[in-house]
Amino acid sequence: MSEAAIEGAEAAAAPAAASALRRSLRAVGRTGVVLAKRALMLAVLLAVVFAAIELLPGDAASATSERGESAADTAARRRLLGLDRPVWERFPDWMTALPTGDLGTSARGEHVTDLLAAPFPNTLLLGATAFAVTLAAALALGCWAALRPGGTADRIVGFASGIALALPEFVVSIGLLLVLSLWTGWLPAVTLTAPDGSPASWTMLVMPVLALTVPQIGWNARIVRGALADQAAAPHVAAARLDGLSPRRVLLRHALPGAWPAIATGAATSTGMLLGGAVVVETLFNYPGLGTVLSGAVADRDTPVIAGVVACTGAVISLVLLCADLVRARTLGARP
Amino acid sequence: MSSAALAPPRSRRPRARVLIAVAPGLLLTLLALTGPLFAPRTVDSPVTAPYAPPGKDALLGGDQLGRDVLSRMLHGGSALIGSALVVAVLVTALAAVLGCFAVLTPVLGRLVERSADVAILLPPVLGMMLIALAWPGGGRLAVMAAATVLGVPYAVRVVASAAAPVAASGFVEAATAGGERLWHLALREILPNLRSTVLALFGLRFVAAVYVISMAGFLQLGPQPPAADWALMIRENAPGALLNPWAVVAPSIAIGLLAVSVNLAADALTPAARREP
Amino acid sequence: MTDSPTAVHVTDLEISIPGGPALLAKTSLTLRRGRITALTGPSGSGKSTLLRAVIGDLPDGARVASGTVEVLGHDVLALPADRLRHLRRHRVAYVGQDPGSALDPRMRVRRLVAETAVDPSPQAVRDLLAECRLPVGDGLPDRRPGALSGGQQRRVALARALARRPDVLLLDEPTAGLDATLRDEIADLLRHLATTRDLAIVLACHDPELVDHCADDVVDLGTAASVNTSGAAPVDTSGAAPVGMSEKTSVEVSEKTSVGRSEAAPASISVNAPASASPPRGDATVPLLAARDLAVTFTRHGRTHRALDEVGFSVAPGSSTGIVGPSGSGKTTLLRVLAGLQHPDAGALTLDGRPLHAGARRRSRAQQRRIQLIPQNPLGALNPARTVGATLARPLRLHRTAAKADVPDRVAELLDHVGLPADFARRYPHELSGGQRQRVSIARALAPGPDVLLCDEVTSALDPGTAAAVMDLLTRLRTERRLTLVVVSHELRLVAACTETVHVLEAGRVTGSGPSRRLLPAGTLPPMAQ
Repeated sequence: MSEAAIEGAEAAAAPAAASALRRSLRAVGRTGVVLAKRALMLAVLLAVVFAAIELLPGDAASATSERGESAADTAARRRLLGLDRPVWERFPDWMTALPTGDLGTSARGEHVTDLLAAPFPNTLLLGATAFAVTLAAALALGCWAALRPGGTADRIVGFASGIALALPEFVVSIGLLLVLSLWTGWLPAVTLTAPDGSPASWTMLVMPVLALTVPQIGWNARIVRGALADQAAAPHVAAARLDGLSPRRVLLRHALPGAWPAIATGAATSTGMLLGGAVVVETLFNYPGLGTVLSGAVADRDTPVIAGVVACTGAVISLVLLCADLVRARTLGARP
Repeated sequence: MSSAALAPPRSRRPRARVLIAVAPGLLLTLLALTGPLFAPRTVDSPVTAPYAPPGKDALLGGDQLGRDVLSRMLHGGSALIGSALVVAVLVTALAAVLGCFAVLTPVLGRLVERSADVAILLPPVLGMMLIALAWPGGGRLAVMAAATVLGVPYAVRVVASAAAPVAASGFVEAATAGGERLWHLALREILPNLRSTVLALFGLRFVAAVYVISMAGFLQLGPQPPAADWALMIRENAPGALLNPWAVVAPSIAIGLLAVSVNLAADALTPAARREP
Repeated sequence: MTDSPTAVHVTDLEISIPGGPALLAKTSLTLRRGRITALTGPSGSGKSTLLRAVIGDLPDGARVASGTVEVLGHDVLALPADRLRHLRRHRVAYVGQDPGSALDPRMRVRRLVAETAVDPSPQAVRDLLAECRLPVGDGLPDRRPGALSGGQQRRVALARALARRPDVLLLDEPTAGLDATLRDEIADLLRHLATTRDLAIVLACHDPELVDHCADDVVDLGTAASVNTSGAAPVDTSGAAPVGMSEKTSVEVSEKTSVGRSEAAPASISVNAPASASPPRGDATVPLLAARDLAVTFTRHGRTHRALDEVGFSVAPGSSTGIVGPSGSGKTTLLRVLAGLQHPDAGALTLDGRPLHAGARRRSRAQQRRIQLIPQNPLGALNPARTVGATLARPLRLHRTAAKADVPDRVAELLDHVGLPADFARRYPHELSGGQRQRVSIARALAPGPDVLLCDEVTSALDPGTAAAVMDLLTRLRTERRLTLVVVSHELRLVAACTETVHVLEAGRVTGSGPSRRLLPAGTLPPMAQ
């Protein structure tokens, strides 16, 4: 408390401009630290992925070898793919090439970057739409439930989210396909693509997005509800209630701002699940995204492609986590 | 100091309610494991026309090769549930032990935090693809290994957060000051007090394992055709969903029910004090 | 004097937790418009509980055992939720004990006040802040609570309460942490408000100056359970409460007695005595346990907090030493350092003059045996998953103080030493009462045959009778077994009764050391509140 007082006095004494500058400098410094931390995490993940591929038996050359191919042919392709070089040479090469957009070479000798250039934006579109829908729905449901703790809405949301979050995306997809497409015929079952490779119409997005969001809404609604319940116990929220403010105002103005860090972390965790689920959902709906590429890679046992996809999704998730970090830093920064 | 974590074991929740919540999950698991005993037809040869609608000789109709959907249903759950159980046991056991040590040794604790931070960057489906592919011929074993490796970091974090208040409690401090060794503190003083956390964690890890393994089945990473597997059935029969919806709906319902009932059971077991993992 | 209209009428109100302690003994209270009523009494006498009951808010799990609360013609305990909310929003305002945490840390002062205001215009808000003696010229309205001093936070909370123009104003410790000038200003302000706005004000307060200054009526919850609305002059000013204790240095005493009220001896505990940085050395003998220049800092949210700052400490063999101080002063941290649970950032420990490792696990077996910790009470002191017998047998086996076959006998013997029957060995901790648990905890510490017992708030959750019995037990064991005791507690009376030397810690520094009789003279201990 005395520290706060001293700081308050300092802030009052110092010229406003200087203190603003200092504050923004500190904010930039904090952002830098958070950024560096996330980048380091991503690098560690890629190192682990690379090591796992190296340590486990089988490599891209032998995986793509066709029947009747001689050992010499395999060895030749191994040389072609650069797999005969020692791992400590290949890993730094691969890592340093990543920031330039070079994700390496697939088992078939194509550039992974070229393979992903068209489908990755499609998956991002699907994932981002699903993310937005998830966040909006989870916030609405979580707040609705938190308005009357223990009430009917709270129990319904609690129970429904318990069911929703356990369902695998492909099970939801099957249900949606049958109901919305095959039985009622409201929506197309298969995604048609425009000449440029993107989905032809927004209706193609409805079912994949729904299939992805249902489980994630369940998960995030719970996190929102839990974070709000934690905040409800905070002294200033209790005090706001004793001030006779309306429950809605107490929830939205006093409890929700403090719950942002937990909600942001939960949403960031969902990013990974959304991107992973997208792979499956895309396969079912023939959506022209990473899922199709990955299915091909799985059939071809093409690990470099999968490693490239891991690098891309890892970067996206890191970005969302970074945003969550900044939300947290901002929220905590506002308190003494 | 959280005395809630150390409340006497009696006063947690009405036992009957927990039993009612846990029963469907247990029953379904049992049914799936013993399913093959009740299968009316063979699973690997056609008994009717491809995608035949439900009829006398096949109660749920035929699949893409005309095999009996009902029999394949009854056969297709045991392997899925069996491997999910093994994964859940492994992950829970590893997490319980690691988590208890992590709260006592700051270095291990930080390592656990960091590895969970890294693991979050890898969507489980992609991680599984990587391991299953880099280990050709691994089949179901590779999928199980992947599910275990991917599940541990997060589970350890859950145990560690539940163990932290116990580690700060008086009896652990008194034991530490009295010279107890690390393994005794972790396994004899802390772990016995985390029973409900570990039980709930087991439920959640089971749900997660069903998710990951069925996902792998759907992506044809684990079991290969012509094996009878719920997830694989969905994938194989999706093209004929209009002709015989049951070939797709039945395994979907089975997986959905299994995941939901086990999750509700885990919810009921979760200590009331801890709301969200 | 009773002609002004009644605003609040509390009749025979009694609040308790079913199966637990009474939070408020039967009390009646009448508040009138335009008058200021002060609630006094030691902490634990139910001042805050009464205040919150007036706005219809009971502590978790508490029930109204009897009585009614009528506020502005409404029976608040039976009022539907929305009507109660309306009452709180527009007519009755409450300011809690700790406005620092009750103000939303993310809102600016301007918005905090405007939120509840009848007139939320910037000018009205500034006027109100100015009326509450807050400086409005230097950007204070644009700051968040974290950037304000404690006194400023208190006045912002008051402004927020007044903004709705209430009829009744409830204040819990409105001047704690304010200096004398500010306190008088606040008192004048309250006086002014009561008169001009025809407000009924009630304040829970243990500051006699404030009571003197502005209260019309005084109700003492400590002595009388009945009303004392005798009007006229403030009562009982002679020995009202301790003098010279600012909030920071006050120490909580849990008993509800009002000892020292009539004994006029000014309770000048020399906690503020000049610090003698080096503790008194036992003459010529080597101290059994000693610490030198201990420093411990904690970092949270990028702020460092000095829990211990160059603390020296030593105890002679067979002595009994107390460590007292307000909560947050570092006394438990000091004990944890001695027990080897907290690594100090600087400083060194010795046992019998030989170096003692800072980490318990790195100490030698013999050292681990010789120093035993009795942890802070509640449930956590004993492993809930184990029987009492298993708990006691473990240290016996660990330190090989008993042969395997003798263990059950030794367990029974230990239970006997602490006054428990032998068949308790089969019980689990949750089957014991708080006092019994603490006895088992002491028996566990005795099991390996220690030389030093470190007692951390061992009586904190016990009722006074049980607490005294536990301290008697420790004193008896000390003489029987020639033990050395180190007792950390905030209950001055108990420390005074069972120790010879006492160290006073404040904000991580030793601010006073000396014989207990001199520092904590028995009988003059005032009932101080937090």
